[in-house]
This record gives sequence, structure tokens and C-alpha cells, in this order.
Amino acid sequence: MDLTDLGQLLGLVVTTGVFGLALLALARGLWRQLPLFTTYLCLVVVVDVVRDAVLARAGVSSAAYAWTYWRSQELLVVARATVLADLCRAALGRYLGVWQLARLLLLGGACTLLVLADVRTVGTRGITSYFLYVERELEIAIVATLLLLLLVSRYYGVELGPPLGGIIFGLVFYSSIVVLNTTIRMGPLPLSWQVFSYVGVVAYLVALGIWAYALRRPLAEPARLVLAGAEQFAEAGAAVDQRMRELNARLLQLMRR
Amino acid sequence: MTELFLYGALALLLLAGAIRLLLHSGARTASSSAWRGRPAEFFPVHSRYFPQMRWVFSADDAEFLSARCSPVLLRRWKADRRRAARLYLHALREDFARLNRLARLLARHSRRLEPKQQAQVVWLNLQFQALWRLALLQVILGLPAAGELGRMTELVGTLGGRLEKAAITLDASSAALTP
Repeated sequence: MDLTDLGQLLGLVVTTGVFGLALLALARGLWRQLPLFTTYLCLVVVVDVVRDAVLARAGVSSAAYAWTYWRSQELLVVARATVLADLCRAALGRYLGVWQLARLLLLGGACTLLVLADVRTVGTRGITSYFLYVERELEIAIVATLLLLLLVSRYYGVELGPPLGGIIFGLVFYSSIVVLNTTIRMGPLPLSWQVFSYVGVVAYLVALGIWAYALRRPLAEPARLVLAGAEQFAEAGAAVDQRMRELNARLLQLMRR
Repeated sequence: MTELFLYGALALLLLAGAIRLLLHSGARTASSSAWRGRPAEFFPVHSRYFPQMRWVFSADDAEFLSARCSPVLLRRWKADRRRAARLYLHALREDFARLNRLARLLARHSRRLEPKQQAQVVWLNLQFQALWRLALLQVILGLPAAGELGRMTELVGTLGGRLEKAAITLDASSAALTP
């Protein structure tokens, strides 16, 4: 099997995989929890179909295919970036205070990373190199923002459910491999376009596998928060308040000795 | 080549960090009862013994005993003192961790968080961790650490004070989830 056959085989597997995953996500009702991620999966299916259609009509080395490929690639990176908002909201949205604070942190972090990415890509010559650089910087911004989300979740003890954790891991994995792959492609050890493309496709296949594994079981209904009654709250609140006062009085006493 | 190493290391570090955090999150989900503990589990218990322990961390007893005990006995006493000091340091850290957990639990269920206050709690945490490590090093080296211990007890008190304020200002509608 030569590289062209391998490319066709990988393309077929990815298209089938994405289609299957989109169906699985729809069957599991994932749009209720992660509407943008579900839309992203459907978008990938559409993009794949369009790319294949252009490829079949115009050929792999045509300008039309190159234009379609890079434009859709941009669209997919932007779609993946919007998935971040979806994941952050799904992870922290239930906790109003934390979500309010995390929005500031995540938005600030993402904007800083995007500005840095913009600064880094200024002066890049050649449209392909420019796309690669932009893609790499955006992927770094995606991974760093997801890491920040994980840190905030860990700090406040917010549990990420099985689909959320798996989806985050899949995104982080794919984006990290893209960063590595692009860096090697643009660096002193240039990969051929074919190998570069295959590494990306295989990484995407692994990410699809991780997402499929995360969606293997039906999604659990969002846990209903059990609210204490006003009376119970008043009792518990007063008890905590009293304990805190006692503790502080004791500590003050100890420090004065 | 520099860029290759820089970006390669960055990508691998970010990936490793995410895996670690996700694994940690999974492990905690399994033992999440620790996070939902009873209110009594959040209050410090060891810091009350600070006056007694202050002597263990000071240099006064060592000077007194070195003039009156045999070297063998003095060595044994020092070793026991170091062991007691280490145990107390761990206990004090546990106290701080309990309060810290309570602070985060209250924050998690609050309707509004003040970024400044949250930053202060993080800063207190960092200060405590740094002091704790310094005190542990001093204990291991056999140096007096009463100053660090006093400062750490103060930090436990400061965090307790903040939590008391937070508990008072919680209004019934916003904190109906408070344990």
C-alpha cells in the first residue's frame, strides 16, 4: 500500500468515524448538555463531505481544493474554539459565583493568548505558513484555556462528569499533537506534506476514539441539587456561624498567650 | 531548532498537565464524600495546642538540657522533639486544609464571588505552604521554628476570620446549598 492509498483509507475512516460519532452524540442527546460541541461534530461531517466533493471534481493539487481545505480548516479551528465556551459553561455553569469569576479568568486568559498568537504570527510570509502559524497559536490557546478550566474546576472541587472529562481530554490531545506536528513541519526537520497530513489525521482519529469512549454510556441526568429548606438553612447557618466564632475566639486567645 | 524544543516542550507540558488534572478529578470523584463532609470535619482541631507546642519549637529547652543531661539522653530528646514537631506541623497543615476546603465549598455555592477576596485566600494558601516547608526544613535541620509556627497559626486564624465574615454575610436565598 503506498501513501496515496493510505491517505484515501485514512480519509474514509475519519469520515465514517466522525459521522458515527455525530450520530452517537445525537442519539445520546448531547446537544442538551453541549450544544456547540454537537454542532461542531455535525459541522465536521459537512466539511468532510464538501472537501470530498471538491476533491473528486477538481483534484488534490487544484487551487479550488487548496482554498476549500484551508478555509474549512480555519472554520473548524474557530468552531473548536467556540466549543471551549460550551465546555466551560457545562463544567461551571451550575455554580453561579464560580462561573462568574471563571468567565473573567477564562476570557482574560483566552484573549491574552490570542493577542500573543497575533503578535507571533505578524510578519509570517506565505499564505500556507500563515495558516499553519495561526492554527498552531490558536491550538495552544485552546489547550491553555482548557488547562485553566481544569485548574479552576479542581480548585473549587467541581466534578467533571465522564462525557465532559473525556471530551476535554480528546480536545487537549488533538490540539497538542497539532502543535507538535506543525512545529516539526515548520522547523528545521521539515516533514513532507503527506506525512504531516497523516499525523494530523491519525491524531484526529485518536481524539474521535476518546470522544466515542466518553459517550459510550447514556448521559446521566444532571444531578438535581437538593436545596435545604429555609428552616434547615437557618439552623445550619447559625451552627456554622457559631463554630466559626468559637474558633476565632480560641485562636485569638491562643495567640495572646 | 530552539522553536522546535520550545513548542514541543510546551505542548507536552500542557498535555501532561491536563492528563494529571483529569486523573486527579477522576480520583476525587471516587472519594467525593471527603468534599461533602460533615460541617465538623471542616474545623481545625490541632491549632489549639499551639501554646504547648511552642516550647517544642523553641531553643530554650535545648539550652537548659544540654547543661544537665548526658549527650546520649540529649540526642534522644532532640530526636523525639523533632519527631513531635514534624507530627505537629503535619497536623497544622491538616487544620489549614480543612479551613481551606470550607472556604472553597462556601465559594462554590455562593451566588457572587469577589475576585479580590478569592485572590487573598489563594495568597494565604501560598504563604502557608511556603512557611510550612520552611518550618519543616528547620525542624529537620534541628533549628528552632517557633516564629514560623506562630505565623502559621496566625494564618489559620486569618482564614478562620475570613470564613466567619463569609458565613455572616451569606444570605439565606444565596446560600441555600450551604452544608
